[in-house]
Amino acid sequence: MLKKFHREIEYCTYCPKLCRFSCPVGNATGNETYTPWGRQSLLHLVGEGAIPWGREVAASVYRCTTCMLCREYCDHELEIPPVMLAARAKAVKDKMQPQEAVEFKGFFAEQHNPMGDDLSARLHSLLPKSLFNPDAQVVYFPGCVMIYNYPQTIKNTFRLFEALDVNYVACYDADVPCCGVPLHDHGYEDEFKANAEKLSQKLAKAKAVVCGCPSCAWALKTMLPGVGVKITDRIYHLTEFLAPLVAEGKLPIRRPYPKRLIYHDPCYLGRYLGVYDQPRNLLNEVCREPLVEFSWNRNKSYCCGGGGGIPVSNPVLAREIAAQRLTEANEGEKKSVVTACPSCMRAFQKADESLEVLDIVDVLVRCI
Amino acid sequence: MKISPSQASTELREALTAIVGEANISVANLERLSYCRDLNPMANLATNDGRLGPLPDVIVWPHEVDQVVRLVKLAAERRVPLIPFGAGSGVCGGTTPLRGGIILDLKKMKRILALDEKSLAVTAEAGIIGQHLEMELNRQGYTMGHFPSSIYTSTLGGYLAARSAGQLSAKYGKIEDMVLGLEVVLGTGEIMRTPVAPRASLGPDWNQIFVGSEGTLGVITSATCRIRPYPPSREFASFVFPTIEAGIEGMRLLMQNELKPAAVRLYDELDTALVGTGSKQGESSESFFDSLPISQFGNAVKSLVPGLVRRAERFVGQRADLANELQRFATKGCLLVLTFEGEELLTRAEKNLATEICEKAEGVNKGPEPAMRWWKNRYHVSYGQSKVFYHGAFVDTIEMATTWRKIADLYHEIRRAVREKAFIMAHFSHAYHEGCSVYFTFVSAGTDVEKARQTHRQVWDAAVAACHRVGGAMSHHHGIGYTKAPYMHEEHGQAMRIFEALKQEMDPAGILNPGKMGLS
Repeated sequence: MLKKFHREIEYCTYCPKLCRFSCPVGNATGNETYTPWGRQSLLHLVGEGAIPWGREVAASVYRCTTCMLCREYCDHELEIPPVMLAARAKAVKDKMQPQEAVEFKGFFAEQHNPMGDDLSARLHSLLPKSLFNPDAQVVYFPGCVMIYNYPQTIKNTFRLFEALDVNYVACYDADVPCCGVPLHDHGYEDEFKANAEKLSQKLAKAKAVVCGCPSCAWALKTMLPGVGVKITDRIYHLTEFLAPLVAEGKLPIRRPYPKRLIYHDPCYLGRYLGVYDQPRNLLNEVCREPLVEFSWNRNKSYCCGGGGGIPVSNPVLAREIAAQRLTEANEGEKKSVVTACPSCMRAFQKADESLEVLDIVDVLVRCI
Repeated sequence: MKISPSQASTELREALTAIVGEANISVANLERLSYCRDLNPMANLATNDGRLGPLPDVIVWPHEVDQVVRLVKLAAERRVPLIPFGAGSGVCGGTTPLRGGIILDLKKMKRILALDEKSLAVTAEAGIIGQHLEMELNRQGYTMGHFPSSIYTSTLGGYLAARSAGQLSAKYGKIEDMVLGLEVVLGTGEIMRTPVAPRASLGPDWNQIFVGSEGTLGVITSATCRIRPYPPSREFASFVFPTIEAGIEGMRLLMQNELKPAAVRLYDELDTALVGTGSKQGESSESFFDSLPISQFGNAVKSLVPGLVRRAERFVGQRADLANELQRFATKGCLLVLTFEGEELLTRAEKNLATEICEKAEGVNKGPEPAMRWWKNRYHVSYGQSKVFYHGAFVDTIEMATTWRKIADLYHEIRRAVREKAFIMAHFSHAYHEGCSVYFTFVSAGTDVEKARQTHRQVWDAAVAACHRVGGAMSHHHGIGYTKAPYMHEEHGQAMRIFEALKQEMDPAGILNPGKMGLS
């Protein structure tokens, strides 16, 4: 089983659990089963024929946020999330996926997105027609979570473009609104591929895509080509796009941002896309107070609990992980959390409704 | 593998659920499999073979001490074994549920309860992971000073229960030196809280009774420990001595001249050759990760006998006698690495004095680089375990201690006793005025798991017998568990009766971690 990942599974099984303390699920549950060591050991035992590949084992592989923090503490640089995702895909093929995954797939199918709403209509009601151009060569791809939960951030993004004199970026027309990551997270590889193919048609004319959400950027950049679906090579997260423009002094900053902010590195922006400096550079351009760092930061950033389908399969666990991450933000004088990922923002707000959580875009806009 | 069904009756499950809540109990086979082994190499071998066991019947995760009290009382009433569990990083089977029963996973008791900055003391619940505690202390400007190589996967309670030692123990002490007070739930369900004071003349020191008791006398639920200010400076020094005896003499002089290095590690010739003494990249192996027993051996063989490397792992296990002959080809000399930390004036002075002492004792100054390399890779050696087991061999460690007068004899005697059965190398660390510990790493294999088990046992039997011949302690900081339990009576003699009596008094139902430490 999962022969492609034989080395990962065996190495983890015999490892003295040296990434144990970094696993957000392991830490929140306190359960050895839901650590990289625990889950991989189970897959090893299945491979050895010692235990059956059944619903119990399948459920265990769904308990991973795919945050990839474990890799940062692995001398072998093993990547566990791809193993978990492959095991989920096998669970789906063998009809052993958890009920939550089955229900999610049905829910997704209704509107072709994970929010259960017509996101295209939402986007069209949000932005003027002039911002939609099916022939545009540079396209802003907001992502489902952003459209559904943070419409103001989308508006702010276009205000920033205007302030930066960027008039060539059009908004993606969201009738295929999702990058497909949620399907992939739940093990639905075929559906992911079908979604990817539709998406590639919609983006056929784009020469560059700027994403509001890091996992969308990762999906378009890496996962789509991984299933043989080609779109442009020029995929950026918004912070990558904005940072050089702001560094050139093109943003007319009228007033500094007054409040103390703590920056959360999203897993997909940091460990997956390798983007650490651009968000900080953007914030340092506008913040009066020095930016506060979490003690787990940059490549060691701790997960918000919002990835890997955990908010769907286990919302209580997702909230616990987010709450753990927010401990430092809530110490002493409460700080606002700033990040660059709508899923992280959502995860934090679900864990602490009183917390101010901002996208970098929202911070920048308040300064112009 | 046939998984025997949980023996926890419906009634027991309901009673446990009433205490910890439905979300904090599991009788699922997956959890039972995850909690049946610690990092004892024989458990890893069993995993390799797909044979695991014995399994616990149920796992519970209490959140507070009152729940622990109720759980212990329930277990005592029903005569069900109860095994306190931290993060399962032990290497002696200390948390293996030999007689089934309840695993009491304490990791949901992970709060830092108090940080007394005036007294430099921290009080934390037992389930906090060592690295989490250290990171939090660092954030506040302090350090615990306790850095076992398992720090990423071990808990405060586990440190105390197993009487653990960290890599910087020469400066900061071992866990028994750090503990000021304990909260322990005895096997009767009574809570015992020891007074928190820098020292007390109140008869027996109960802290020291529970430290190292491995969950057989009580469940440690929280502890108050000494902390130190985070060190503002760090210095590194390295020396190569012509022989292991000369290196040991250098270590002795350092300690007996009242120096307080943080880390003191002397590698034997083979280990030195594999770790490297060079100061430039390429002059030696870049990291400890590359110097893991099996890959060390593989790399060494590769450079000596091209083409053999593919079979090196098997060769190590099956022709240990020949593998040990590698020492003849090893670079002559033994590397000593030293680190110093604290106030800058002090660390510089200590480093200068250490240099003077080591050079007088025939040590050749190799500069800071080898020690810095050790520092950078100080936790990395453990990652190599995966490679060894992956290739069908096994690795284990033996950590013994004795006085300066006997330490070289102990080293040679153990090597002689084991060399026919396993590839073995050693380093000396955890130094004191009176002596130090010697830490052997041995690699071996069997044609099948059963043969490997036999070899493993033979190595241990030979090593412990040699240790007793020379005179020393068979374990310095890994504890006993069940793998070293057969040697406890020989080690302690009549004192085991007193240990048994304590056990009887504190755990009259005999439910706490049964089958461990040589207790009946």
